[in-house]
Amino acid sequence: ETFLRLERSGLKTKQKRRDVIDHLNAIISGCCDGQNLRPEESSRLAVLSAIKYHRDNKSGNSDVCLMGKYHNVLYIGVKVAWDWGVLDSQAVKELLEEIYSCEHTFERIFLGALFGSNAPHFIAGWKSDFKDQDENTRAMVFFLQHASNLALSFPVYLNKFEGTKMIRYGAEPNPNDGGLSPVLALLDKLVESPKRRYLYQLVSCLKILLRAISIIEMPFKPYLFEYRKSMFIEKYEVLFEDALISQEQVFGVVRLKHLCRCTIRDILRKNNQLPKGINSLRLPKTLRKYIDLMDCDK
Amino acid sequence: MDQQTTSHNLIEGCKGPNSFYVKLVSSDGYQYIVKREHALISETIRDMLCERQIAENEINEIRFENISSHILAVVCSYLEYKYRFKGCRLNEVPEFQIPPAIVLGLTLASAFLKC
Repeated sequence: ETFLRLERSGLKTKQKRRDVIDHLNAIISGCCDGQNLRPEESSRLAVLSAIKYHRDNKSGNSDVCLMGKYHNVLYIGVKVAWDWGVLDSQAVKELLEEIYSCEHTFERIFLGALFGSNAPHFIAGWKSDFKDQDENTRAMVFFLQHASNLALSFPVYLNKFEGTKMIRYGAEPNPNDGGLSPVLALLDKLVESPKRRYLYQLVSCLKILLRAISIIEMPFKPYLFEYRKSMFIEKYEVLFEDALISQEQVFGVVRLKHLCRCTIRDILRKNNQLPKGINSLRLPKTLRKYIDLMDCDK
Repeated sequence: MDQQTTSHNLIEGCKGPNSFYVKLVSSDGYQYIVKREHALISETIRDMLCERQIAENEINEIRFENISSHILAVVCSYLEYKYRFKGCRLNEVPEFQIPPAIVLGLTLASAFLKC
């Protein structure tokens, strides 16, 4: 009834969505008290209703999404799922699949986590429903965890180095998409830093990325190795000097422990077991943390 | 040189504080004779060799009660690989292949051996 009364553009602004979400949250609370339902069950039903509303309208229009409120209702589902911590991965999976079937991206969810809650507005014309970057990041992790529970994967392309935050959750650190590798994109960004004052976020992204890849593959192919090496040193000399990258990981031999970590992560990634599968490995906790990229030990 | 002579020479090469070779013994009793300079890649082996006071005729032997032969064999290959390519300046370093079946054991061994 609430949705029917809404105009087509009724869920376009953040304020209107907030009103609907507040209204829904009140209904969910009421259901919990009145019908003795658990909050996660009531909120799961709300998420499924949003999916059904979208699906019904889409199928009634020859499988073409009507957009406007008919699509944005899914983001009401996203916020409700996050607010109430829906436990049913199947419901969250359906919600994500429904969004992806129309948008082929999740940028409205992850842009705010990567660049701050104002970024979706400037990049995608969409104001984030999450109050700040921190909440958006936690929500992104929430959805990633549900997706990894059911081995859900979508081909989503992010700005090369921004995607490193998702590496723990099985994002491919070296995607074979024919473009510049994420680590080189990140190194290019770092060498641009004025007076070698590097942005903290870029450095931490690099550190995580270097833990997930065995070596930094040098560009400049098909030149001879010696020439490529001298070009690489010339271009990234300051990063070597500032110990942001090591010669070992570019031209030398990395530690056996690191190679093992990369091999284990490759196997787990191929089986959609990152990061959950790490806990079931028969290894001491310190090594499991190391494999989960949480240990700074090289 | 026949096999017996080679084996004798290798064992002789393991003797003394400055031996050319060292003998690594796995938990299931297999022996691997590796060059000392290769073995020193491992920080743990390096510390063990440095701490020992051994006589001229004594064999440099290290027993690993927690590393089995199929793991130790790969570790020895890695030590040789690292020694060979660590200072490689002119050619691309080939990839070191880790057998997936033993990767967990190898992780434990590499953490223990610090290599």
